Amino acid sequence: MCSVQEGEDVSPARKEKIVEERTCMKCEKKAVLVTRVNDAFCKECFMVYVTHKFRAAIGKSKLIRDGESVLVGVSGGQASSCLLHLIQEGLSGRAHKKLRFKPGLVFIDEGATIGMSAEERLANCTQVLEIMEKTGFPCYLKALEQAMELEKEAFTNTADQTDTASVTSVENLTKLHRYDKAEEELLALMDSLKSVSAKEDLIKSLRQKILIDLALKKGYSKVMLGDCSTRLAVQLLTDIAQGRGAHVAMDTAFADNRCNDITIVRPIRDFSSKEVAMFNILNNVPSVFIPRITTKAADSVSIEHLTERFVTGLQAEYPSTTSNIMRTGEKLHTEKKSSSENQCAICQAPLDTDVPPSSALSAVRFSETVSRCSSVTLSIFSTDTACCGGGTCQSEGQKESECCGQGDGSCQSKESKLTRDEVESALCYACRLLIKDLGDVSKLPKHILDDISQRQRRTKMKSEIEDFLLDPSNTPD
Amino acid sequence: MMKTPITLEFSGGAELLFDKVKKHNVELPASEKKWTIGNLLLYIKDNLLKERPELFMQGETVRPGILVLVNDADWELMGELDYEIQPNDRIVFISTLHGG
Amino acid sequence: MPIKCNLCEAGAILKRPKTGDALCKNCFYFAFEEEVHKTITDANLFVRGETVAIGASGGKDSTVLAYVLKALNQRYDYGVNLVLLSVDEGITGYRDDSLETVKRNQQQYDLPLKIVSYEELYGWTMDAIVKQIGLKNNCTFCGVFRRQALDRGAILMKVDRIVTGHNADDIAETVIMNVLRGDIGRLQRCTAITTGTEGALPRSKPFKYTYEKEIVMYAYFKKLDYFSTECIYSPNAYRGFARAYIKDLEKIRPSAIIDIIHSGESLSVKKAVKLPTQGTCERCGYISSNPLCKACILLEGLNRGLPRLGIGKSHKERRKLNEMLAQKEEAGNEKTTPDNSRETTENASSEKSASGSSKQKCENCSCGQKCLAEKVEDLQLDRRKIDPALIDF
Repeated sequence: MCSVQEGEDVSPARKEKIVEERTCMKCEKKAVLVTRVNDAFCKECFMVYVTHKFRAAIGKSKLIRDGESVLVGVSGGQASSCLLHLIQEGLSGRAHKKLRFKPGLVFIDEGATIGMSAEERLANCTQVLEIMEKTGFPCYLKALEQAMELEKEAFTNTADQTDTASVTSVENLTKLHRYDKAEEELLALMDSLKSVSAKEDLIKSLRQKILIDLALKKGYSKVMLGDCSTRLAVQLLTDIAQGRGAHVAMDTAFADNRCNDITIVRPIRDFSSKEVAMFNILNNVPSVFIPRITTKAADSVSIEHLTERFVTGLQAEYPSTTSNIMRTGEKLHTEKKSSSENQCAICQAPLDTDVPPSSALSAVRFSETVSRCSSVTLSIFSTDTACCGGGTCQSEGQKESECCGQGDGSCQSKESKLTRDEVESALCYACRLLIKDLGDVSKLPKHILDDISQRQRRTKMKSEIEDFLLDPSNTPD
Repeated sequence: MMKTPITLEFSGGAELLFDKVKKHNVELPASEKKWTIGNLLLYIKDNLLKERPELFMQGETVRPGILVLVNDADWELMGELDYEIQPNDRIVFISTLHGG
Repeated sequence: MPIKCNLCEAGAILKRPKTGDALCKNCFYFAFEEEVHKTITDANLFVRGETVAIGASGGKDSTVLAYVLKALNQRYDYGVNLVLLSVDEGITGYRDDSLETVKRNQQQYDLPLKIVSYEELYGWTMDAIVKQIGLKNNCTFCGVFRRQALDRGAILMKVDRIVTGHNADDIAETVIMNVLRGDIGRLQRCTAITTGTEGALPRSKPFKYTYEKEIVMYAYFKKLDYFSTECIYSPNAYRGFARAYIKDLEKIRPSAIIDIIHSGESLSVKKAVKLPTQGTCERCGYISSNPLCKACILLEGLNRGLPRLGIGKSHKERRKLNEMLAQKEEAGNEKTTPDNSRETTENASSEKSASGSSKQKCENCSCGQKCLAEKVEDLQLDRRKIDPALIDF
């Protein structure tokens, strides 16, 4: 049946070509760019507009206190370079109302994920470091493979000296890449992930883990990221496409509080990528383009890449696309769970797997069961389907199906290794998809596996002492 | 008939399709027709672009997500493909795509 | 080397788009039907003794739905009476042909069939509407009218519930559409397996978790008789983008369709966000978030020779409408003259009170739903009258 529905007639406005010469909407001078749907600005008014937007976003949130230490993630790309420039301007004496937080900068080198040579990685680091050091703020360099060696929790008092100080020389830079074992582990992990979508998703979580860990160790209480609206609109739709609907708000809002001690903030989330690029050009803000896993790849290489093409393509024709998507995000929120055991062990977002029997997740489970178990087995437990719908159900049929489905022997090694089921139980819906792509779950970073093992032990302990607890809801955390 | 000297710049990842060369000084050959961005794009495709033309162009125009500036002004204000190129123009192509 | 079925000794004939498992024909039928059964039981879609209307278009989804529901009703003894309900939009060369398929299905599955037409309900066929409005916005009319037409037909057939053939792909597409349009109200509602529990007839989607590809495979192997031509009035272009995106996603990760539905199910809307409240239309009593339902407004435009009425930005329209209603109320207080024909109302925007008649509508009973059933005939007449309050826009 035709699926056009009531109220669908309001297609967004199409782009109209500008015919006559446009003047700035504020001052009547000759315009240099068109932003949003149809607002033309001259250079000066555009600068005022951008700076105001940035300051207003920080001011309105009331999240960043005077003197607070804020770790700024710098990728070298245009958006984070723009953010860095705005921070510098805001902190300088010239600024109308000075910003009063204390920034530190970090660059995470992800060269290992695309098999870059040590020389290339060094060259990239040098270029980004050059930009960062000019600011005079404390600078840190990290490599993504370091995520493989992180502990489950970072303690503020265990400052490790290797990366405390600003790295100021190339000798120090080379030290960064002495993570041979970690690099091998990361490569092995990446290799065993079959799809680029899963790789991209995991890289994002590892990057976040490094940022949070560094912030905790160095006494920063906020992490600031240069995500612009175009980027976040892509992220939002990618989230939806990967089953992360519950996490849309955390992934795209101004403040992301998934980690208790560190808040991630996105002060340029109202800037379009066009505004960012224009700002950089007009201010001669330098940036470094570093290829990533999807660079020069076909559209269909990953969900995120496809989504980026989809959103930018629509945006070119319907200029309200990004703002419509972001408007959707504004109205959503992510419900935070109190206990850390209800957070996903990979992405740290609240678990979204506690679902009723009538749900997509239960339907998927049932589909797998029904096409992997012989009908005889099925008829036995299909009478009790509610069981298979439950969160961590381990019905006979499912276990069997896991074994025959994977055939990687992970089911036998129960003693020493975590089973796939055990790992899955600590993950959100989307990270479970990621794991489905992973040949061997034991390749996951240590901090993730440790976290899951600890949860397993606690759950076991809890069930052992359950009979003695007077009020089960009152168990200490 | 005169040649038209212009500067072309590619950044934000777009340079990867041009042998990683960001800045190109180009003399557009003399032509019967006036040079517009529209036929400049074809010229770029035939003479400068080293690989994957589909990542730079889509049909007759640039791929969505690539920003075009003419002398530091948004090409949307200049008539886009129909803009008539003047000698010594500086035309910048910036990819705003995350994945490049 | 032939691949063996995952479940039995037979040779596999297909790889399930949904799970990637290789199955033989019989095991596929079994898995497919069991999944629909599970969807029905988990969501308590059916109550013994109820009459359930299957929205039948003659297309693959509703044909397979009718076939599977009939089989499951016997196998698992749901104890429901199934009937087929079709809407004739009045599209020559498309719906007249597909209705022939539905009529054959009626014979094949031995189910009662009722066809309601736009022409009898609204006085307009889609062909006539397209003549007025052109090809650009015709889907708006069709979408709005179809929803009500199904309900009205269902009420005439005295059914308790409507089921439609919307599949997982359709729902995923609608989720994406609503994100792109920033429509949070619909985004929240669109993944519900059953809608319209208050006020209107409940309407459910037993194929909510069923992949379109599997429906096609099922119909193909079962050799079901269905009509597979696209509507001759080209569908909404913008929806086409969302559809293409879903198909591309599915190629990258086949689970994406169901993953999007999971996303839709687990979205949580901020408490501070105001969602439109569902009320009833002042004219026809149909559920509507505005004082007048969309169908009434569109119809008004058609009858007035102003077919663009009701097409465009909804907030603008609502504002105008509210102004109009305010005027109307004033007018209504002055005078209550029943209007009988279009001609007499042309220049009489302040003479007739539509609010008067809409108030009368519910005086005889308190239950909107049953009341509606009795009103269907009246409505058909009433619809041809002109509401002078709308005369100006």
